[in-house]
Amino acid sequence: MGRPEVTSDRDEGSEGGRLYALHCSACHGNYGLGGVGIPLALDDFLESVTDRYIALTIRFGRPGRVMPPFPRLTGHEVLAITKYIRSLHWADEPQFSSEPVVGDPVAGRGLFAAFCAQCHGANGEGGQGTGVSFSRPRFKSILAPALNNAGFLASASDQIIKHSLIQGREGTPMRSVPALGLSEQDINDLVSYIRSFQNQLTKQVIIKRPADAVLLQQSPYSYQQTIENVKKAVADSDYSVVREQLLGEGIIDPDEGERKQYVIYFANLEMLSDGLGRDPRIGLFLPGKIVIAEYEGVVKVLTSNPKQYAALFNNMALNDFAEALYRTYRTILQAAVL
Amino acid sequence: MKICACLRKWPVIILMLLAPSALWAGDLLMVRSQLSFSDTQSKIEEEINALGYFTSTPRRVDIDLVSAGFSNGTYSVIAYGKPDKIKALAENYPELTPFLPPQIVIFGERKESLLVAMSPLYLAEFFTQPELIETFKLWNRDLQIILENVRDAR
Ligand code: HEC
Ligand code: HEC
Repeated sequence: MGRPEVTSDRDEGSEGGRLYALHCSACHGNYGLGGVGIPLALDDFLESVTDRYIALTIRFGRPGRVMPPFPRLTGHEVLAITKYIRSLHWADEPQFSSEPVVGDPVAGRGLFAAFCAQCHGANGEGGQGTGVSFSRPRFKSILAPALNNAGFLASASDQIIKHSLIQGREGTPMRSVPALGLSEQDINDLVSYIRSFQNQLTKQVIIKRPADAVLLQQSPYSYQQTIENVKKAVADSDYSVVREQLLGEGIIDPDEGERKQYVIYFANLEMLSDGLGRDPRIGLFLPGKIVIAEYEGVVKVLTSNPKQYAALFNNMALNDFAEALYRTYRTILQAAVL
Repeated sequence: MKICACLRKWPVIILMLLAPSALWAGDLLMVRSQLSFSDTQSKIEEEINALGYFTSTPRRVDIDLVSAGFSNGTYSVIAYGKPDKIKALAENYPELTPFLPPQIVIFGERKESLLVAMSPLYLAEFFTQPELIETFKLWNRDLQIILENVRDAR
């Protein structure tokens, strides 16, 4: 599937353009052409959503689906960004009534399984991956967003969803639903089914941030012995030490006197490919890193706490990976000080 | 602006789930550079050095990954810091050591590159000693400058 072209007279010099470049372009691409996030400069997208939808999406983000919330932007800034996105397309903001769409969610459920689930997931959880070319080969098309998402459901009115289904999104895999042979009643049923995802939101796994940013064990062994213990524990857990060095090597002059902070980096291919495949930004914390530090005669073994990773990247696809890495770290730390 | 039906029907639950918290806001800094991967790598080193920080040699972490089936696995990590500061922090605050020195990750994405770093202010939520807060604020200011300069480079 092709990516959209830019055709309109957008204004990058404006305040909104500047704020967009700062907060959004990393993911949505310069000029809204997409990248990690879905494209915003699509005619069909901008003809299907109101400014309010865009503004609320900025405020709320999409919890657990990479798109962050921006609670610290002022109302004025949100408006400026919204205007800039609107300027990526020639047409005016569409107007929709606030009437709820009345349909049969049970019928909608069947239609969803038949026509939508292959892209949006069986329960509307969206496509897997982040869209960074690293984890998603670039020949793959745009990722289907999560529809069972609190941020989406709070931003999209029934009429916006209905209009999105009728219009489709040319330039993406999302087709116009009437073109699939479905009637207006079917569309109403689908909208009411999507709306019913709200009932399950409270049961959803919400990413939690742990109280501690580091995991720590005190070692009864000497500094040198603890280093050896960590290396052995790494090997016993089926990982390899990929690098070991004094903390800050390459930055701190080696002749700076004795330092007792040693870093052991470890990995195996499975860990790297699983983590980076879920979200390449986890590369900030991979390979695994264990510090052995002596402070006032006490030797400590430390790592960052993986339980914070999913929250940091707002990506619930990292939940299991982070949980597994947490257990690995605990095992290694405990074995090293046993 | 009129309130859409969904918000009238579901005000409490949804808004509770979405209550703006400090949780995700700005914990991560992400910037798109228009330069290629290798140009971005040299540009970022230049910008880091311009503010008086030292950089470690960028580490390529992707070597095994291409063979593991990743397409375009270009990815490297640059650590940076002022030697005296990193040394002093590591010696006085052992619990900070897993986050030292700060790092920036670079990904090649088509002809452009993505830069990702943890906001130093994120650490301020866990390490609340005044000296550290001051350091994180300073690092944050400098990191913003570095990232914005790389972002604007052509
Ligand atoms: C072939 C994959 C595919 C199928 C099948 C599909 N979609 Fe989509 N859908 C997408 C993609 C990709 C997008 C994002 C388009 C974009 O970039 O704006 C999308 C967007 C949407 C949106 C807008 C969501 C948002 O966050 O803006 C809704 C609503 C939606 N789809 C509902 C449906 C429904 C209902 C069906 C079944 C009738 C369906 N889709 C079938 C891929 C698909
Ligand atoms: C870290 C990456 C990231 C950043 C930064 C980001 N977004 Fe997103 N955005 C996404 C992703 C990913 C999605 C799709 C969510 C999904 O797949 O469920 C998305 C979805 C959206 C949507 C819904 C699009 C649709 O078709 O309905 C809008 C609007 C949006 N983002 C606007 C913005 C704006 C404006 C900014 C800057 C203030 C921004 N985003 C910053 C990643 C990001």
